Amino acid sequence: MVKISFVFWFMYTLSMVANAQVKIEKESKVMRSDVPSNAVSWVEEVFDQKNRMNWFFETSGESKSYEAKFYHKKKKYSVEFSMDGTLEDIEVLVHWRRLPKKVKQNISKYFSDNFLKTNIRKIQIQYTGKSENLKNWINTNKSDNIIIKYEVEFYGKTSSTKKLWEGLFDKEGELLMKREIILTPSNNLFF
Amino acid sequence: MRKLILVIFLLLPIQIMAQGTVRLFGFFPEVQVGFKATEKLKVIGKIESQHGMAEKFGGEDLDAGYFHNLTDFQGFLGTKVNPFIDIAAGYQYRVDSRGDNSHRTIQQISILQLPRNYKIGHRIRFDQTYLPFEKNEYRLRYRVSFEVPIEGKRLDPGEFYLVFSDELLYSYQSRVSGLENRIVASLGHLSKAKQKFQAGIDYRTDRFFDPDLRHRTWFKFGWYLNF
Repeated sequence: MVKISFVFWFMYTLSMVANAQVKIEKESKVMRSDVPSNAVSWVEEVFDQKNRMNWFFETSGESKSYEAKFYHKKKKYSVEFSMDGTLEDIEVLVHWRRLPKKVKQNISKYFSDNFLKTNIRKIQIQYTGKSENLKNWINTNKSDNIIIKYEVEFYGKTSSTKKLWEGLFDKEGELLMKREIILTPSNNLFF
Repeated sequence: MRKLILVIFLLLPIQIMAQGTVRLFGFFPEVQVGFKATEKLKVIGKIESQHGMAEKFGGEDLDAGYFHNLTDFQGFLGTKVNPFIDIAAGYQYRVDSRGDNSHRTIQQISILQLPRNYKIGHRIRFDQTYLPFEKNEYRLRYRVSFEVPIEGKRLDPGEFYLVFSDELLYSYQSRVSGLENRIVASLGHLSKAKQKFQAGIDYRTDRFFDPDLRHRTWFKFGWYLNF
């Protein structure tokens, strides 16, 4: 009996240690009807589509939001809203070669100044601004009064580290911030 | 969705048993703990144990009853070549119910791919088994695994996922070659980013070159901790 109790105590302790000091991020699929109606109507009206649109509820620490993910004119969009349906930002997946020349030059310079080797995995252009301005940008492609940033996921090798990073660059391609991407453990696939 | 997966997991061994081809059926728990010893060195400890519940030989009736088949104690030291490639070397001590306790040395390289919202894991492993009453056995193994989130676009803490894997093993012992195939389908849960639970079916076939092709089906459940 003592042995069994010890085993359960040991398993419980290990489990608690594993749970400690972890930032919880979660994204789960939700029904269209669960999302604030003003957010749904904004996306459906501006992008003129209802079908093939997936909605997600995202929590990151204290922050909570709704996100619509869909393809529009062969591009992948993510449109994020606050809990009350206020538009927060629009992200569009792009290829490196589609970036403005100046932005590519500056990001490349940042890479060569700070890393021995880099490999870009994913780039999203992040558009923020008032919903009317963003609507105008989608309809006319005029980006007046819109803040443009570039979110770049990349592998970077230095003399001492080899890590995955997410860098946020401004409209000129100058680094604003970067954070390390921690992958979920894969030991279950390899051992 | 979850109900469907549960039904498949519950019915799969029954279906295989019904075909009269299963020789061994049982439970296969495993516990794995991994932690960083230094910035570059990772240590992995693992215990896995096979507990048979039923055996069937050829045309004989099913022999139901519990027996301990084997228990493996494994330890690995590994390092990352980059975020996607790991190399590791390990040692295993096997407690065999027949008394043929054995030692094994293991070397492996693993490659992680992240194509979209799922993971693909490739593992190439060499192992050498040192048996008390037989010649050493050498094996070359390749396993491909898919980890697919079933809630949301990516796997987040608190969510379920599916894992499918297939492993082909080539063995060489006393100038005799052997082949084995292992298919695993599991339902997993990522809990608070550092631990995973998995439960599923591990279906193994071997002795392809022998007249008595062997089928083994295990209910496998694992607990994977990562610090």
